Amino acid sequence: MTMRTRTYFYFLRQSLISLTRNGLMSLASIGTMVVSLVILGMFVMTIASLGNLVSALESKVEVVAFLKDSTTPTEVVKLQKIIGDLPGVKEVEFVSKETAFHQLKEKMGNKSKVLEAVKTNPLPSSFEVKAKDPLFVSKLANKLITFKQVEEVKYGKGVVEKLFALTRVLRIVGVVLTVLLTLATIYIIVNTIRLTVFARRKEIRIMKLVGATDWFIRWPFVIEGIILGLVGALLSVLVLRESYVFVIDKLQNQLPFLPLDNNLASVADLSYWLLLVGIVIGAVGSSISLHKFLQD
Amino acid sequence: MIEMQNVSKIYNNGVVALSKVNIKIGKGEFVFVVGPSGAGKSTFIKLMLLQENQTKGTIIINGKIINKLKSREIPYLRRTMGVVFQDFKLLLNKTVAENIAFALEVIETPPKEIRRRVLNVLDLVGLQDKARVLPTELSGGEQQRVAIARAIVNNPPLLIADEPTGNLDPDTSWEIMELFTRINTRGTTILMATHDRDIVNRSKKRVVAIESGQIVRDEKRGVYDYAD
Repeated sequence: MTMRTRTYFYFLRQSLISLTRNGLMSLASIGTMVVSLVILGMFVMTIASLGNLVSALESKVEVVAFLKDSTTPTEVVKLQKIIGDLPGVKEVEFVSKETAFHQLKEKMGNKSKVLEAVKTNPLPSSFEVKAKDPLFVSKLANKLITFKQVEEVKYGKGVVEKLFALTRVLRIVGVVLTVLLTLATIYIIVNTIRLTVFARRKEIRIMKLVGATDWFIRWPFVIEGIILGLVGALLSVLVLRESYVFVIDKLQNQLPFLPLDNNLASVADLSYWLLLVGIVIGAVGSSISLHKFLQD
Repeated sequence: MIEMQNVSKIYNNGVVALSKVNIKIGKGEFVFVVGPSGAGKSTFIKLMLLQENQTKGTIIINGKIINKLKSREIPYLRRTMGVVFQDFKLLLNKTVAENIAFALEVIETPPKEIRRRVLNVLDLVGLQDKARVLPTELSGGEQQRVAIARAIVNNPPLLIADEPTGNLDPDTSWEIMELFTRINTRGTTILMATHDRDIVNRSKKRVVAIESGQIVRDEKRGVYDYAD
């Protein structure tokens, strides 16, 4: 074995030895890390879910133009082409009287028997127009009403504007809080690591006195920090995964109409980030904490 | 070995700890540094250990002008000097042999070499049968022997001891002193700051007395000679 490889093995062994010898301290660090990262993770996931929810709601914002019963099929085809070419329109869908009736029946579910009493179809045919951006919605509505075949235009007037104001605030608050919480998490974890380093200042002192170089003193601590960070992050990822599945399950039972995202892909994404954050904070945290003790 | 030229140390709070100190210590010498508390002894030792920087003057150790050293060169100069303290500074969760080996491990000595040297030095300080014992199970005198073993296991040409007998009873102190004398006869330069009047007077070695930050006396076969 060359001298350098032997040294690296020495570092790894020393890190593991000191992690086990200072077992309580290691557990405390990991505990703090898990708690902080779980809180951060839950917050980020909540914000992300709210964001998804809001996007889903936003994409549902559409303008419905009800057509007069006198509208001929050729007029429908022409009109659909014209509306589709309007600026800001993403998609136009024609809903015939029959389709509308069918949809209503489905929506009512087991109460649809009521409809059997209805002899003729009272529902108008309509165009459902989706805007490229929800902000175009009111303009589009004003334009659609000018067509002579259009009887009435409906969109969530007022509601749409309020929704947008709300989502904008929600997004800004979300970003700000996430940043603050991330900083707080880093601060807590770095401080915990500082305690573990402080508990071993005597060892560091002796290492300096017998002529150990700074990098030789630093490495075992950095490796320890990385191990602590990795274990802490792994545990928090596990906790987050389990609680995510649990919470989403509950929510979907209680509130089935919410467009909740129950695939684990977003959790996996977050997991990588948390692992990265854990490792980097562990390594950087111990380096920073050591700095003071390496000075004298 | 050690040379100080016009060395002064003024701390940031304005306290003048040393002023214009000149001294030369040759290879293989045994020197006591004596003086009342607060006279500047500790600062004198700290400058040697590179724990403090002098405000003015030049310090030369082993031919190196230490105020011109880069910080990454300091560890390598420290390897040329062993240090012993009043409070031993042993790692209590490591055995005697591990404490001594630690000093060699952190300067990347091969394991075989470490084993050989640790055994040798344990023999020298008379603790062969305590290798696997934890420091807490040892007497004060034995703990200080471990600390001395750690300081000299690397065969440094210079050994600096700061009040090494301060926590020990007179008999044990004298045993430690005899150990230092034995190490000195092997060619190691020894610089020992002490309050121990008896040891200084019985040893008949060079005595440097520091008072109010200045060397007031430097005698070849000196005595303690002041009330403390």
